[in-house]
Amino acid sequence: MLPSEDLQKPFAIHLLDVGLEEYGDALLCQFGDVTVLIDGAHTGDQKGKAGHKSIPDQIGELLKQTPPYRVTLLMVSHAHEDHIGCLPNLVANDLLVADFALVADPALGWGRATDDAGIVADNPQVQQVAAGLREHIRTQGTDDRSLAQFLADAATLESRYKAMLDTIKQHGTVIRHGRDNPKKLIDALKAKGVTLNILGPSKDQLAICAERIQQATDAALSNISDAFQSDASLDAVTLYRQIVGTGPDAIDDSGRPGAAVNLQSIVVSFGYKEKKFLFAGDMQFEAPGIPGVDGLMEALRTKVKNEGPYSFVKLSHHGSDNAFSEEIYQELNEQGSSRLFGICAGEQSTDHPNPATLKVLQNHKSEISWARTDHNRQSSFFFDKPTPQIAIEKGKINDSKPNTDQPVLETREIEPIREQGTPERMTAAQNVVVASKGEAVEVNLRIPHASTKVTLTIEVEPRGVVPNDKVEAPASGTADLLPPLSIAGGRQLPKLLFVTSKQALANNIGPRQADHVLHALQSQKMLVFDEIPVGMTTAKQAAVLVREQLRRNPGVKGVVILGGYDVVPSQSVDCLPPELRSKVAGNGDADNFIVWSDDIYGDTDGDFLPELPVSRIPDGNRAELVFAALQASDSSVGQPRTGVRNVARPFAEGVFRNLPGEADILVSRPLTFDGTPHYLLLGDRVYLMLHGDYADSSRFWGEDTEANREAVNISNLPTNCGAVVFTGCCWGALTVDTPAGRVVNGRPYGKKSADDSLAMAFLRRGTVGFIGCTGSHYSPLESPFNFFGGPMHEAFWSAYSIQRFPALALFQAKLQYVKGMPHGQTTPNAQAIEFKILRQYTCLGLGW
Amino acid sequence: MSKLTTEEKDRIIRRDLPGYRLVQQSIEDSAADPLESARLQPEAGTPDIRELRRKYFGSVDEFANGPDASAVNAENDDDAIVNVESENKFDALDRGGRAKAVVITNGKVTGSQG
Repeated sequence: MLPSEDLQKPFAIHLLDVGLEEYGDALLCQFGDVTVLIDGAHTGDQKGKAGHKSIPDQIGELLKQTPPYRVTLLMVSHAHEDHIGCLPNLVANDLLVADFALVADPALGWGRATDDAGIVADNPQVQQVAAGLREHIRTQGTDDRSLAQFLADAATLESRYKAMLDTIKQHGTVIRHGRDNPKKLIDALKAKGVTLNILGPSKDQLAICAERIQQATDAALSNISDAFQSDASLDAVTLYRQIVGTGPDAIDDSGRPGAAVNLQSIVVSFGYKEKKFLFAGDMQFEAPGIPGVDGLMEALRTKVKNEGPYSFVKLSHHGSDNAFSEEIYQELNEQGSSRLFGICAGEQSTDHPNPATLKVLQNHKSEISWARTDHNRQSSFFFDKPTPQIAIEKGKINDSKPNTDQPVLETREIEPIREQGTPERMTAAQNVVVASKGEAVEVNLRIPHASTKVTLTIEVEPRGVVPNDKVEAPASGTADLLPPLSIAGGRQLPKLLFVTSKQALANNIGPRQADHVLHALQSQKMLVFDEIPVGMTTAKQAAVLVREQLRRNPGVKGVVILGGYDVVPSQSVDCLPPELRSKVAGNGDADNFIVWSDDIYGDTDGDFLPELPVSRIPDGNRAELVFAALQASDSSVGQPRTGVRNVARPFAEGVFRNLPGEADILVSRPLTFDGTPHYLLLGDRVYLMLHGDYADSSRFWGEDTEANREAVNISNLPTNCGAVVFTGCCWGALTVDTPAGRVVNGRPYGKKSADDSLAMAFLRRGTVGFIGCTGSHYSPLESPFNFFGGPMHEAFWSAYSIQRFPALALFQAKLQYVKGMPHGQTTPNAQAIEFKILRQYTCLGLGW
Repeated sequence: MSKLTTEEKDRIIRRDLPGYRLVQQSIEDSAADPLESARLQPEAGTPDIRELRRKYFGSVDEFANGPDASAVNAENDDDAIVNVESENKFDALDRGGRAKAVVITNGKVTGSQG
């Protein structure tokens, strides 16, 4: 391609005029041969109104096309009406066609257990009000007619959205974020010189939000039905106003699913000609607003920060203060200068953009430029010249005038309450955050705009008082802001040696958090060795240090490693004795019978084989994972057993039958993770015999399910998981990206984050021990199934039934397994498989 | 090493695992590939079953299978680990749909990966 031709190709970001209505996003990006349309404003914006051009007219003019307008990629950031907007109508009327669509998954967006599920109220007015409550609150200033139209549109949004995706699928490719592989799209864009980096949200976050949406929707439907039944004169508009208003009948809006829907916004960075562009829908980067996602949001913010700098940033959530702040601004500029910003909002918006957001922009006015569609209407940023140009339809750029006269309310960080009886007194504000994110008690308040005085008294009772008689507080003096850690939930543990590298752990989970963990262990009389040198990559070297500690501390019953392989290295082990390896050359084993093992850390006599059980708490670069795993309490979840097996693994039926309890093991096929009714793995003992994959440890599969949908993913995990999980799933306990047999000299083997692993998800939800494989697993297919994985499964559960320490039970099961090797099958390959079963099983989590 | 021909393996797979077919082992599907020389060599090995029993139980003779059971069929010609994939494979990119190893012993499928 000639440079002159390249220069003539469009290179611009257009923030489309989204009309009068509050909120609304619609952007058209031109990256040379690639055109990307992101979101479709409001449902009614397919038509112009009051001097505002329609969305299709704007697209046609900018692309210089006649209908149908063709875009390379249609993006729908999340499942809110002011983003899906008029797109279903445009697609249904052949005004818009797309080669690809990267979209919010409708099932997750509406909190459905399956694609087809949906709660439809008998009373259409109930449905309308419930649907309206999913959306941004329409203010008191919205007239009844507009509000009625908004509610009617909201009630049909889901079905119209699904129909749109079905239509696009007929001629294009639809990728539902979190469900479908985007590789084909990424490759297609790359071929045209555009990079696409989907930064988030993670599958964990999508699932948590979907659960939240489902709960809030169910509760809303129930409340709304009750309201209509108790007052027959009510209509949808009136009830909606009552609910979102400030009157005495108002329903607390903290349970509305709006924030959870926002937190499903797809966050992407496009790259073209060495420039990057950030779009994040309504992602609430500053104040997520729902519990359980703080860590995930921190990780997402880190990704966004590290991806920068950006030549253009669309401020998310219409410039809300829960999306942007001075801190976010600094993060966007940490890797270099991000200088151009855009805000999408309708002309009649009141509290968006938020005055606090505008103040941040104003404070940096000398460094940056911005445009906002509520004042500037269609606003274009051109990048085809050496210096970017901004063109606006109306007003002035860098307009920091709020749409409301409310004062800018600062988010205050308040010292935590250290003693009972001394509650902090604070002045009510729109959004008050007590203490730092995820580190202490967080209180989000929404105070109605009413002329009233609100006094809040908050008393925080310390939980799990930590004895601190001999151990000095960390030098930083700040660890007391973190939650107290009650090791093993306060259970009595045998004498254990905790092993880590203080510095490497600090690098992964934060220095204060690492200090906090070590301090908690020491204060609770645990034996800690935290001096594994940073960067030590050879397990044999590290094991020498550990062995010395074991020698100095007789009576230790087990070793617990704290941190991932980059903190304390795991060992790459050839499972096969030399004579056997020579007989299985050219084998089809996916790991070539080489696996990761931590057994060496249980070696006390120097022969590199364990005399003690070893468990590992992987950090997943997430402090709360380590906190949760250390505090695993072994308390009952109310059901003794649960499990899922692959339909082609009948041997698992017999294994499961021996566990205490009455529940049947679930079978996949037909079971899939999104089956109806939705199932949760609720049981003190969890048994999974499914397929796994080293490239994706966030789910396990059954056999030949429709569209190869997985049997289990994070959506099937309850908030509190059972004490022990035993899996026969390939690579189920792999916490790095590369199996040991596939590591290439000189190349890093990667590390799975806490979001990428079902095993780590269990640990974050209270599981004491996750027993699984670091390589591929083998199952017996021939009755009586007493070889390969079968005897190991039986031996583990048998040992665990006698004593409740998963790490010890696994150690005992391995000894039992050695006694029986080879279990009936005596060919070289069969023996090789049994050696692999022996070496690769590992215990993740506290294990005790 | 197995002396089964590809045709024989394919016939066994189709008979014992309807809906599956034999696939040629690929770099993607196995770690035992031509790049093996570039692979990181394992840091540790594993002793044989006799040594393991001696270490943990102090004896090599007290178990039902006996210490030499491993040698009985050590040269079995019909022993093979092969890769198969579903004939209903949905999407090559779908992680759950990768080829999987199955074990052929004495002319039949006796075990499977996963």
